[in-house]
Amino acid sequence: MSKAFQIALGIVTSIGGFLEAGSIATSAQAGARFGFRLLWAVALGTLCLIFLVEMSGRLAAVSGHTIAGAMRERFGSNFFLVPLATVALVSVLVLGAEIGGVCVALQLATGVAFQWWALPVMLLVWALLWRGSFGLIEEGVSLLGLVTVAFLVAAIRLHPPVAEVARGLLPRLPEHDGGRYWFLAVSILGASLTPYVFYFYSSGALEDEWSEDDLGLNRTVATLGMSFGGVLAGAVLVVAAVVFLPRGVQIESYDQVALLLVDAFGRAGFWLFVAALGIACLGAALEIALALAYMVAQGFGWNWGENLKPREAARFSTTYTLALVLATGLVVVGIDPLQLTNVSMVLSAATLPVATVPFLVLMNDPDYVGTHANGPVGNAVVMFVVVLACVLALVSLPLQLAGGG
Amino acid sequence: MLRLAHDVLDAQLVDRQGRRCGKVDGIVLERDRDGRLRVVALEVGALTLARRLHPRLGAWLGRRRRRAGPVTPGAFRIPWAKVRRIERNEIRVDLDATATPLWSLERWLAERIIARLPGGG
Repeated sequence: MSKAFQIALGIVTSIGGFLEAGSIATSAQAGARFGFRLLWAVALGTLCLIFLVEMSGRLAAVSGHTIAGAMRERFGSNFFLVPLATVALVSVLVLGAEIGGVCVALQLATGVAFQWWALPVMLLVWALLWRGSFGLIEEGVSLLGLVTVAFLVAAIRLHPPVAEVARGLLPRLPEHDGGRYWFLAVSILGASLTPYVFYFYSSGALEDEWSEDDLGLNRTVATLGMSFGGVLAGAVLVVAAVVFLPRGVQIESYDQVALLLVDAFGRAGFWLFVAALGIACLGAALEIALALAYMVAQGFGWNWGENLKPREAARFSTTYTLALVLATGLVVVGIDPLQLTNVSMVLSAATLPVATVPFLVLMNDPDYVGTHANGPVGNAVVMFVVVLACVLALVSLPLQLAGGG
Repeated sequence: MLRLAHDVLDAQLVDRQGRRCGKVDGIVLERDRDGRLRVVALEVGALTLARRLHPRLGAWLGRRRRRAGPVTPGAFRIPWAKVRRIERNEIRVDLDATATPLWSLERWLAERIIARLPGGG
């Protein structure tokens, strides 16, 4: 495979894989309520994600370790249980939100209530993992995920006021509804930085057998792929600001979000949204289920790999199967997918230090990354955003639950 | 110089056929006649992990083990002599993991659960 093709492929998969239930829902709610004002949260989350993804690929390429494997080795089995339990809990909730997202897309398309779709969707995700290879999942679903570029096209078609959009990139204090503002800010950070993304990336790098020669490729793919992905999440926010804010639409369910693209594309906009939501969430569900199984298997040293047959990696395959069953349960019992998404994104933000600080320690340990250790900028950006997200989450979650925003 | 806790404990184990077959959950030391400590074996299994987490948890699991089966937590010992190579990201051991208790849960799941699901055979 030529270098240029590899880079293009990596970027395409990152774009196709970036948007999921969390970023679509949180950006749409933020735009509807606060116009362009929360755009800075999308930008900050994306910047931090670029650093984390680049680090994850670098760890795998230089040390031959995944994040989970290295954490277990460096900090021991007792400590490892803390990030394992935390990330697993958050991932199951987020997985539930993604399965819920696919179900909502099907509900919008057919009129049949989302709960009824939970089991068929689970079986589809499971069958793709059970029979598919890593390449099929990464490339196939991500290529389909390019339909999410529709959000960017819509944002351009609607001619938003450029100066105001640019001002949104600067953090400002809210003029009204402070509690809601910070809650949405932290939801956006949580949605950009869900740990499965960078945990998954290091496993993917090992599945693709990266070495130190791939460090340049890693840097390019992480930077461009995540930037484009962030632009798409920003586009969702901009479109929501143009379409929903003037009409005073308060988003309380996915049904309302479904009209997001109608102004830009007419009736086809509805179907574009359905396709984008369904495919983006399906892709994310596949990645999260895999990421969880990777983490458990790597932590306990089991045979793992999406290219192995299920019986060759029995504990690994059983783990993603169980994760899917648990997450689907959340949807079957009828928890509102939008609420589930919001809560899991804030929880993801609140637990970020547990998932990232040990990882940062690894990225500064010459035993693992040799001369390719982190620079001060990478360390500072990640620490700053992670601590900010965690503090905001811990402050705003009780406020949100108490006051209802 | 080999640093046991640093280079060996919690490292990935790989068997003769290149299968990932667990982490070094524990290290068994023995005092010889001169009073020097000597590594006898590596220990792998959920029971070892439980003992590391808390001795009481280990003891409780140990008592339950009498009703042994494929999914009961174990503590399998790999003699130090079986260690072939200690690499930066894995330890290669001269074993066929599938012939040891390291593989009992894996085999049980593969035969009892996965083989019965469509596409698992």
